[in-house]
Amino acid sequence: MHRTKRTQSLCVIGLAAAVVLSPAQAADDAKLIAAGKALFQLKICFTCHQVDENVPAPAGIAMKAPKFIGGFWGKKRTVTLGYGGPEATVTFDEAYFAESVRKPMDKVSKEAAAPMPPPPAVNDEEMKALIAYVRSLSEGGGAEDPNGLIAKGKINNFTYAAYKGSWDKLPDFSKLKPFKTGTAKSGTADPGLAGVGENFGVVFEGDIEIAKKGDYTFNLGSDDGTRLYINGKLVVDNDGVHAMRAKKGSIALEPGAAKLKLEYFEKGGEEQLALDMSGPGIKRLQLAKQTIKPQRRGQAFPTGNPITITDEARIYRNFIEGASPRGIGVGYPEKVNLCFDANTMQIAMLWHGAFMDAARHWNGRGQGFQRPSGHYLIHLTRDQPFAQLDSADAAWPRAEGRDTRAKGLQFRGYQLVEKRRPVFMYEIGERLKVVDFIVPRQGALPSIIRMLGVNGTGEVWYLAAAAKTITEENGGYNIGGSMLRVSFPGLGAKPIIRDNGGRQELLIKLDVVGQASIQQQYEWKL
Amino acid sequence: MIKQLTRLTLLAGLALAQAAADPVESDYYKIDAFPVPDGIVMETSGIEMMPDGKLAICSRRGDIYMLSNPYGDPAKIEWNLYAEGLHEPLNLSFNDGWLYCTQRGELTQIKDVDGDGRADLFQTANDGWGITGDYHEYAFGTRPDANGDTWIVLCLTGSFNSNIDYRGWCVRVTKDGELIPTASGIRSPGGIGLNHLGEVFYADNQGPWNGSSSLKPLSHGSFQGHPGGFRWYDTAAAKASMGKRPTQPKTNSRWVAEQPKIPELVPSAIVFPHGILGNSTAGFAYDSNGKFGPFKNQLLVCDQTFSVVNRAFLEKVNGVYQGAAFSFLKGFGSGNIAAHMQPNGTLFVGGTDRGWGARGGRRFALDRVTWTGKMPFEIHEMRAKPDGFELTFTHEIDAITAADPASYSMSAYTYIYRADYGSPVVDQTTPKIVGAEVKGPKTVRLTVDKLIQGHVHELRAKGVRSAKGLPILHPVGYYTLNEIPPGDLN
Repeated sequence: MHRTKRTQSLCVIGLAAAVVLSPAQAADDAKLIAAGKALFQLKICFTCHQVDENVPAPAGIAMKAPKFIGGFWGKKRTVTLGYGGPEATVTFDEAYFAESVRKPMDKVSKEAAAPMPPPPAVNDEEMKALIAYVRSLSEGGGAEDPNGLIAKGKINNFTYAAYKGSWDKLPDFSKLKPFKTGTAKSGTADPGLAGVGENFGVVFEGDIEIAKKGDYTFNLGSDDGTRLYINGKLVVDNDGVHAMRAKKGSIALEPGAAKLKLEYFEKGGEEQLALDMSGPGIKRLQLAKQTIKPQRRGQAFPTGNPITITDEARIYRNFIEGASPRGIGVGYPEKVNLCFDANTMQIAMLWHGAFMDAARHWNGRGQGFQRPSGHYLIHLTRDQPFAQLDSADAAWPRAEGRDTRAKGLQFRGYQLVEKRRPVFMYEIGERLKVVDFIVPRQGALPSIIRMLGVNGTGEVWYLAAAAKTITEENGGYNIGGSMLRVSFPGLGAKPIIRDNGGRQELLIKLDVVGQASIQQQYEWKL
Repeated sequence: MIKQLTRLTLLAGLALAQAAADPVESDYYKIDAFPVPDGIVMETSGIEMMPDGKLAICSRRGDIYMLSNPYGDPAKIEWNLYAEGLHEPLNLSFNDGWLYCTQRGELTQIKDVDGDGRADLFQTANDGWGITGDYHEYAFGTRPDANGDTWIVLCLTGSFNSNIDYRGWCVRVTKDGELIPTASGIRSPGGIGLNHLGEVFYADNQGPWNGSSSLKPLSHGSFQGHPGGFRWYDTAAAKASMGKRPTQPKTNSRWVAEQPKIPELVPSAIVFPHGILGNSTAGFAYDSNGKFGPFKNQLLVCDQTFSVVNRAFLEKVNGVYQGAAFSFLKGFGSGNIAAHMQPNGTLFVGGTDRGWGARGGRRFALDRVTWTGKMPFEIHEMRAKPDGFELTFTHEIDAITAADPASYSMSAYTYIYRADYGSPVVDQTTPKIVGAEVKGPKTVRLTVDKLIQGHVHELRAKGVRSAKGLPILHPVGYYTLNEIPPGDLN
């Protein structure tokens, strides 16, 4: 990886005050942790920072992004002051975390192969939640951690009543007569108390002790159906005939005893029942016979067949996540990669570092779309680059779905030229032919120049970019909501920005007589 | 007493000698496995001979390699990477200076313009069919037919549905790059090709509306049995080339019951009984000049699961293709997908077991088959007759065993024509061989008490010997009797 000096453009980073939070507040609040977990997804932290040993974070592999697994909070770590700058030691605490999120270029983890791209803006409330979540990961697991944190709880004044019958949904037990009733000292909801294997139902009742006022979450898993009522209110509805399936619900509770009623039925096959509660000061208290096991997710990002790039460009045509099924991945030795979409004729994605891993497609039947391996992934809108518009305010032809083909464009293949870089070829209508040649540019932050040649005769519009906002700055255009900045070296006419259907479009009109060309530079603005 | 003992010993000795000498496939055909160089994964999915004598092979992974001196010592063959990064290519065909390759999403013309041994120009001849990203959506293509058209069969989206244009169809791409919707009703093809007359056949795998894997003739306008892709009859291109959509077949029926109601419905020419001859019919080749042995113009059909090549004799009765399948060769390295025959009688077969498994045992393979020049004793042809079958053999036959009806036995059965996956064997009967008449030195005419239209007639000729006393190498034939020949009982 390149450890060159930062370029000027990298210093342009918004400054915001770091927030300092009370550790006590962050530690115990399961709700805050849950919110943080959601934000961890929303703010795309998860793409690089691995939080589960079994689920690799694809982009983080190439970037060597720090993992948030086990005992890192409060520990010292080595950083560089600025990307490639002098080394320093910091403590991984709330202040450092907040600073890293807001000013990722200032203190870059030494182990990382590249600095973190700024995530979407994080406000103070969100920062609290993120801190709570990440900190909980250090303590051995998040709010969802299935192991270690679960404790045996007890339903007080526990009674049960068992019923016989074959149902597809929970019956109205109040209208049925139980064949068996009883109590159990364990205070654990257990379908086995009914003493039958199938075609039965059980209603468990009792109280749970609530020490602190607050929101409590109940996680109810069953095979077949269940319903949980707390203080007479339906909190979780997990009804129906199904395999072991968990559902959650929350309710605000006051200190004291809360009334619990759990209805369960089993039609045939396996019978399972799991219930745990969490809330202020409580993490996953087990109230039923079983516990909810973590879902065994398939390998989210299969690895093992990386397509390595040495001194020539390489092509990988396959199902690439973020493009249509006609994705053509191109990896360049300059450490910049792209996916050209032969359905739209558009660059669907650009990214740095590692190219693609073919493991998903080269093992088993090869089902599914594989995401790019590298980092600084930019998704471009799925718009065709050229269109023949009836007027300057005519709508740009929009892709309706992943499989949508460009209107009026026909893919014609590619030719590999110097360093086996592809020149893509396509046609616009019957009178214009395009050669679309992407030249990678080496650097600390590699970029590309797209050289488009249009041959023939006719008028055509070129869509250089589309986004919610496009801002002109220093002769280029910042594409809102992304790391992308585009510019047009040597272009005489100025592109126009037009508002269209809730977004802005950066357009260039071409009157082609014989030949016309456009050069568009795509740079990362970090 | 002593005399008798001696005679017994002699007989036993003879029997032993005969058992030991029972012919095996390798007496007649030699299979050479090509060692694949370290670091190369060759999930062979397409094979073609280039004008410079190199063998072009493509892999499901997207590579094309050129193999120098493919007739020489397999260990000394040089492998050179010609192209990479293609999307699951399943056919190669050289024509007009271009190497044509059917990829998932397009028919591509490939060329090495700068002559450095690596392809650099990949022109899209046509990409006019859809793909959604489902792995089932394979595309298999032919070499160009007499008109210059490439026939391409497109697997459904999965087994039941057609989620995007022309899944479950056969399309033709003309030499001008135009796409013509050509036939519907395809389920999951495993290979496609031309016979010696230039007619197109494809292999369709067991699944919905296809009780057992089979070889089916394709023609413009035909419906091959699976209605999952009927919605594409509504496209302008299909309206122009195909006309109205056929009548929906009734599920849980039989081919013979549905066919009279659906004139476009074409029966399988050859059914390869599931679990007996194979589980997954794939690519095929044929010998056009007899340099590969006695089976000139018969189709040599791969099965991926069984890692074998079966043999198909075809004839037309009442204008409908039908015929008999026989076991032919086993011992291939992996799951056979592609087959290619050279005019000099060299057969190349390759494949992979990825995704579905194969008996061969290797993950991927490329094998070369040559005829040893020795004539196997086989049922050369099995023809339907109004009241039975006529068998011709590759050797002169022993008139006594061949004329004895007890040398033969038969069963007949069919499969349910239905929307559910596959089918059990149903409607099984045991037609009796009531007569066996030797009509010539190599010909026997069998009379059967009751032929059943639409049934596979499984003939076991285990008692027949050649004039020299050889048993039949593969004594079971599976005849798909779509039509019973009319007329005169000779």
